[in-house]
Amino acid sequence: MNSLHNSTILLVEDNPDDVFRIQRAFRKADIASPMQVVIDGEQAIHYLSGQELYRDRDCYPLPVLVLLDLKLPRRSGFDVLNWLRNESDIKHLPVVVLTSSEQQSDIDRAYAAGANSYLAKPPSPVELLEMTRTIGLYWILFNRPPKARIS
Amino acid sequence: MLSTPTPQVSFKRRLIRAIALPVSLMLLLAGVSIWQISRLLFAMQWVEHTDQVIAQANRVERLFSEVESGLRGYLLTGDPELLEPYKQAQVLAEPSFEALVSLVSDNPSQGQRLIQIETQYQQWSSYIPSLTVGKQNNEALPLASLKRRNQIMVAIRRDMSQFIQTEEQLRNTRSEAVQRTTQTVISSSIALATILGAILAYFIWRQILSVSRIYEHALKVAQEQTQSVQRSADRLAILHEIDQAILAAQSIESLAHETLSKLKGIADYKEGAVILLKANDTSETQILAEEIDTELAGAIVLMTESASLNSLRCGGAICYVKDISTLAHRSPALEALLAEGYHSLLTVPLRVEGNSIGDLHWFATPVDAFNAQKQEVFREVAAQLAIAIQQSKLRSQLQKYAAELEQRVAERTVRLQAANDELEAFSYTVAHDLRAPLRGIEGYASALIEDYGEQLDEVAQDYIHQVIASIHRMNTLVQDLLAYSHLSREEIKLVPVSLTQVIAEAQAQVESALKERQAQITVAEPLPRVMGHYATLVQAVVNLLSNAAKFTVVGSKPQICIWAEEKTHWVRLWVEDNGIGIEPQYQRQIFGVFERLHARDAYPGTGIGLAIVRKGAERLGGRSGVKSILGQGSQFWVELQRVKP
Repeated sequence: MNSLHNSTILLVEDNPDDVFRIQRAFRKADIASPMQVVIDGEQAIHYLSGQELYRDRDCYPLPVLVLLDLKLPRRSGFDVLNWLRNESDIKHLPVVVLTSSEQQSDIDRAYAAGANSYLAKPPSPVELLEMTRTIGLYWILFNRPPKARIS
Repeated sequence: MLSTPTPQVSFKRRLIRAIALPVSLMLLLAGVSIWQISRLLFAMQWVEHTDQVIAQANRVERLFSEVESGLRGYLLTGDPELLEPYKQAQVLAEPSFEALVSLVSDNPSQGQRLIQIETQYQQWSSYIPSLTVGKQNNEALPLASLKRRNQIMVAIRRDMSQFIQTEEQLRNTRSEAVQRTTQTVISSSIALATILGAILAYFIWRQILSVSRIYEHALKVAQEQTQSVQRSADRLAILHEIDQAILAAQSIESLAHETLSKLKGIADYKEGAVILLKANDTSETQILAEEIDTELAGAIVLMTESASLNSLRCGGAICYVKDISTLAHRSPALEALLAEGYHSLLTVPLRVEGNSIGDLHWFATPVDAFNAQKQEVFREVAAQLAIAIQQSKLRSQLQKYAAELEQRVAERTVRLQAANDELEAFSYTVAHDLRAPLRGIEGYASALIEDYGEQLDEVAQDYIHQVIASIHRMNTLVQDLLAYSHLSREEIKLVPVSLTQVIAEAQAQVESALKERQAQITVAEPLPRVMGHYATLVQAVVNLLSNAAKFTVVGSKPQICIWAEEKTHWVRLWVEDNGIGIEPQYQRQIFGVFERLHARDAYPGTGIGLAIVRKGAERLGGRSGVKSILGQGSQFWVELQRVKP
């Protein structure tokens, strides 16, 4: 099992309601991994590349999983994905798209940009909790992430 | 009045003459020859006859001699044996003599001579009995009798030899006649043959000459006709080229230009042309083309004084001026033409449907340059040109309309595209942004109930549950609306789809609801294939089946029948239920978006189901509808295109 420090999850979500729901679901699902939240695409890129506010890797460690919304202020989830998949050091970082869109065009585009999984946010809290548990089991407990090279 | 025979009849007559004359001439020659030869044969017969007479005469003479010598021997010896030759010859002598007499019956003088000889012979014979009797009695022979008898015999012999001599002379004469006749026949035959040959040769020569004259004439006529055909072929070729040019030309200007350039070179002398067109509504005249000879360009400018040329118009018919210089009144334009050396002027009106749209003017340097044939060419060209100009006008009008229409369509397409894009963006916003607060509300409501539920009384808890239920409804509404809007905008390609598969898939999707209500479904297999879109069709059938199972009379189980009605061009899929039915006044309304006929408590739903059925049918190029009697059930149908074989 990964140490807590090593199993940080980065949530990229601009809607505070959704942040509340997701955080609450993670708490209820007893997932102990620390969760970092950024509220737009630009911040996500800064966090992942360790720039601006996020220079300190001790406070802002590289995550093992990115939960990425697509509709974001400043730079969209697609932008973040495209950028990430071109960063040689962290290009293999697992990204799960977690969004409200169920449009096939969005789904196809996300996979084309390199998403590892695509999840639509369930409206009901019960279903969200179920989904969160599954994410925790699959991506945090069982999944083996690639080693990120920190320059 | 004499009519000249047709060439065939004349030829037949000539042929008959050519055969008949030689044949008749040959017959004449043969007749003459036969006549001559028969003449010859006749002469030869006479020679032969004379020969016969001579031979017979000799025989008679010999017999006479034998009679004489036999008798003499007896008289000398008295031996009766010696009298035998005498008796034998005497028997023969008489008939031979008679034969000779008959042979010369045609010659009276010789006949006379023979009668004389016969008389002498009889005289001579009269002495014989007395002599022989005397001898038998051995009497002495009377010498006087003997002498007398001897004299008579000498006379007979003399007369016979004279007779023979005469006959021989006759034979010689006749042989000569035969010789002469032979010569005459030969020479006359040669002469006749020569003459006839000459006549024939002359006749045949005449015939051949005349036939060859006829054929020379025919050949000449044929050559002339060929030339005439060639000329009209050339004319047709020019007209055809003009037609081609007319078809290819886009504008009236290029039309006129092409026509004039094609007509160029139809004659050797210097020519010019101009086409004057009337503008549509004004009296203004437009010069369209003015080319053939570049030297002419300067003179053409003067032609803009159209009125001067108009004065030449002859009531819409072709107007031909053989020589401009002979005109009493010449307009400035005509003066200008004359100054350039032009004398002939041909003006052909351009007419369309009886209306003059302009004129084609053609001028040439020689006097009277346009014969009837040329005028005909220009007349035809003018007719073609008029039609082409009219067509060109119509075409450009049509092009203008088409362009305007295209412009409008393009503008509308742009507006539609913009509207569509806006709708797309709107849908996206609905899908994401409008649903986000709903998730928030539900999240907080759920958290409130879960985290603080113990502190709230039942009423408060019920309120919160109502909030959550409303949110669920809202969510369903938004989702249905999105589905509907998506159906309107989705690109649908029609392919053959099996209705059996569609029904099976739809049944599977609503299976739980059907089971829950214990619905019985009867499908009239086999169902045909239709032109459609699988997912859209499945969605429509799912909605129909859900409705059929949902809108039931309280306490009864839904009975659903599915069948297909096949027609020439379409297939109608029917879904019949035994439900509550629909009042006639609402049967149109129910296909609208969010249209409901019942309270939510009785029959839950957003009211989008039938709207999706209708929209789906429309998107598949079909229709939808319902037949229903309140309280007895409904028959919903979807009409789809048949699969073309």
